[in-house]
Amino acid sequence: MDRPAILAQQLEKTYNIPKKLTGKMARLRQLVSREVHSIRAVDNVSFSVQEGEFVGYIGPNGAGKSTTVKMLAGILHPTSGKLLVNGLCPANQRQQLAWHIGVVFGQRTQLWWDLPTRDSFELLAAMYEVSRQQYSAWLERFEQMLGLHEFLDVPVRRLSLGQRMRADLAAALLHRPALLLLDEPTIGLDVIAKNRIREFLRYVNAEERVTIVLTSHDLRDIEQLCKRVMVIDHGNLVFDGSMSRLRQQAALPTTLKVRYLSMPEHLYPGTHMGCGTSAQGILRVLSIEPESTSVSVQFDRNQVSAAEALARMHMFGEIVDISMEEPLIEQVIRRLLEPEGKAGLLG
Amino acid sequence: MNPHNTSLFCRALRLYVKLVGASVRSRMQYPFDFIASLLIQAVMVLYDFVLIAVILWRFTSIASWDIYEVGALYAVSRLGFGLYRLFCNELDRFEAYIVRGEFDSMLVRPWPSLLTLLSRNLDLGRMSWIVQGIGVMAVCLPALLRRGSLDMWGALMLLACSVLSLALFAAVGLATASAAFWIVRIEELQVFTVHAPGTASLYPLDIYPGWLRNLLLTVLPVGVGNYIPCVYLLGKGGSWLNLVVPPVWAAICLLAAYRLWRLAETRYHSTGS
Repeated sequence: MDRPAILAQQLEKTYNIPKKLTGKMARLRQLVSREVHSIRAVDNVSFSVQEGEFVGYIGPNGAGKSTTVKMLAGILHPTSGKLLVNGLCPANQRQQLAWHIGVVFGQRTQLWWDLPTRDSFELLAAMYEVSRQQYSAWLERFEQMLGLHEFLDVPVRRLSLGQRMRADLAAALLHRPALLLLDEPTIGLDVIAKNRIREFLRYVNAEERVTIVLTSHDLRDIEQLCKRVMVIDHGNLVFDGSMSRLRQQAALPTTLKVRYLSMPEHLYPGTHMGCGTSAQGILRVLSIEPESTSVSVQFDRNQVSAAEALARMHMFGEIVDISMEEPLIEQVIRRLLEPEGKAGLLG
Repeated sequence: MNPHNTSLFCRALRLYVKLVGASVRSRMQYPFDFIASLLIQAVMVLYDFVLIAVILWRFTSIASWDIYEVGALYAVSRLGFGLYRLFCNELDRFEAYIVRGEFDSMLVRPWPSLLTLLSRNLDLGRMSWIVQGIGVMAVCLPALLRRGSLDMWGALMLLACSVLSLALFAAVGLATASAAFWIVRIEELQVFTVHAPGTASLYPLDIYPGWLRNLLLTVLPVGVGNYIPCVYLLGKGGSWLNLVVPPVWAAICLLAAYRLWRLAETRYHSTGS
């Protein structure tokens, strides 16, 4: 099939928020007021996703990620533009589409809060008219992989966040959807739980051939899972390409903080020094904290490895402690939006 | 995708029963809360009973309707409202779904949102109005039959009117819930469209000024379900049309409310995450 899993053309979503009136009898006038201000949550966004892809969709808070995902699922109706998911129009064919997609919202479970987890699965099986055999096969497949057997008989309200997310993911795949929409599936989870979810998603995409669109705050989710990433900011798609190209384009520095046994000399904020085998390999001293005998340097991971940077810093004295800071998603986007970084990113 | 040959209606009904079962089981997870709410409701029922008894004992008749006739009228409306609260409780607390964005999860299912919404909570703790209606009916119907104001057929029609009343409450409740998609907060509006008219319809509409009577028989039509048929069934005038017009009006109202709901759904804004 060469039909794309998702096709969005000039997609737009505008919210009309009633203007807050002030002054005399403001609350009364508010009732009849037609004054609104429009907020364009998604503005002229076009992209397509092929079957089997694993796409990361990132952006800062309020950038329009969730709005896009909710339009894909048919929850929100686009203000204008064309949208086809699995060949169906989500706004007009919401119910038909629901048979073919799975949706997980990280912040909100779709399971029955007060009932054992198993009951939720059985109710969903009824809702999606999944046959007995298909249900058993599904349970057998995911029970071990997601460790569902640990909590099948525990009410959903008593599951840990990680368990609940596993259960929600399994539930979203019960009716064998071709497309999985995940809105912040790792939010609030610890590292181990995150890794488990990532491993599972990688399997679902590679082995079960499920197309996945994932939004996340955590750049590592995207780095480890998605070959392709889309960045949205203020409703605009500002980047659409491979993860490696994003890292290249953004050329984001990693920060290394080193604490020395005693404060080394000849290091000042802004000092540049060569590092590693590449000619462009440079460490830049970001800050010096004499009271804690610490020095922070920044370097580009494309040119300098962490080991090389550490070796270079070791030349200045004995190191007692180190910490590394990877660029935050907000910084990636800020970098993308800087005038010199913006040109030629799309396409 | 239609994996079964059974009709859509049967499949929807089967799912509804299953989901309602789950909601009842959920409720039973908190037995103390359930029993407490039943007890509170029982006290309220008793209080209401005493109130009507006092009113009727004091006046003996209201606008040429005597105690048993008012009782029959009252019981039909109470049963209708009780059934509405039992089956459509989620419409009554729909504001919460909009405010918290919970309606999202109704919209990702391959079924009409109304089916998944109404099946979420069949509130057995709210049986008090039904109990009240049955109680009043049990006193008034035999009395009316005994003195010949009503024959067996009329009595059955009167009972059937409670379903009619349910339909009218549901129509008004659904239209009011739809308004939440635009104005979000609807609790005050519900008082005006559902609860106050519901209370007003407990008594013969003859006691109200003309404009109020007209209001309760047209745009807020909860009076259509009990007053209009009762006028004819209890021999206070009218014609067979009093039995035909109300169901037709109820069907029109339900249909219109459902159309409004479907339109409103497309305006859903959800909430940020």
